[in-house]
Amino acid sequence: MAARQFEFSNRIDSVTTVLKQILEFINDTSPTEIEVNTLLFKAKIITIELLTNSLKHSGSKSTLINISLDDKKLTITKLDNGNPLKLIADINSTADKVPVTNDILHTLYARAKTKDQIHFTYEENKIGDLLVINDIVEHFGLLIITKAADEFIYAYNHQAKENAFIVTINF
Amino acid sequence: MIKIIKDEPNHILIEITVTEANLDNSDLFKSQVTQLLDRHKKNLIIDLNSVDYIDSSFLGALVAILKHAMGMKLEVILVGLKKDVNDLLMLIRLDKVFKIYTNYNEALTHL
Repeated sequence: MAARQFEFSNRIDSVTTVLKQILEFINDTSPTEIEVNTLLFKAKIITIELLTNSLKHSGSKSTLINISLDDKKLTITKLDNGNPLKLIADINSTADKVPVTNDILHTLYARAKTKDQIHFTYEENKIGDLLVINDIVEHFGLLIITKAADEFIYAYNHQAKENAFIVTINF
Repeated sequence: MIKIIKDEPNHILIEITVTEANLDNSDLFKSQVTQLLDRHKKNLIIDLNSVDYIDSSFLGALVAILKHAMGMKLEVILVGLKKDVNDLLMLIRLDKVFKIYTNYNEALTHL
């Protein structure tokens, strides 16, 4: 078991530095028997999107990224005190999964795991003969994380006013 | 942000000059390339050989540019993708909507 916390100052010019530190830590502490290049690729694109999400939406001064590895999985957790995802209100009011985005390539769904906790999943849509480019969404952040991860959960803690994005990659 | 490498009768080859294609430069990229399409009205080949990483904001800009070009009945072709950039496009299936080739000469055979 290895774990470390990284602080991101929510500045665009810090993305590369924090990303490099995180990938070095994962590379140094991941089990020797796993295929590290695939793991590093997934960790890289997930971390970039988590940091970008903070830059765009969090509204807080800094973001914490917790990295933990055991012999079965890598967990990347992003914590910040910005505004909660608007999806929380929609999801709490239904037991069904709710489409977040939908185009000819994918449907991204959010489903309540428990109260104030969202589980993201996706389906690849069948592409017909007519490829309607204009339908394709231009927001890929949540989709990238959902597809690269084995599990992607968002949780909001009302008492602490804290957002948690919890991403798991199984080895 | 972008550099015009070739301006031919039926296409323009441009190169992205940044190594990190991200939120910081995606809006500028989108507006520069859209203006280029409007001005030249030619198919566009974008060389990404300098780009080490690309984020969702920049991917969104690329898709917006593709929509703009297709509205003008023009093509957008991507070349020179590094492995991680190519793997990311494949992960989110953008290889189904963009024409992607290894290099400029290969792209020319398909224009």
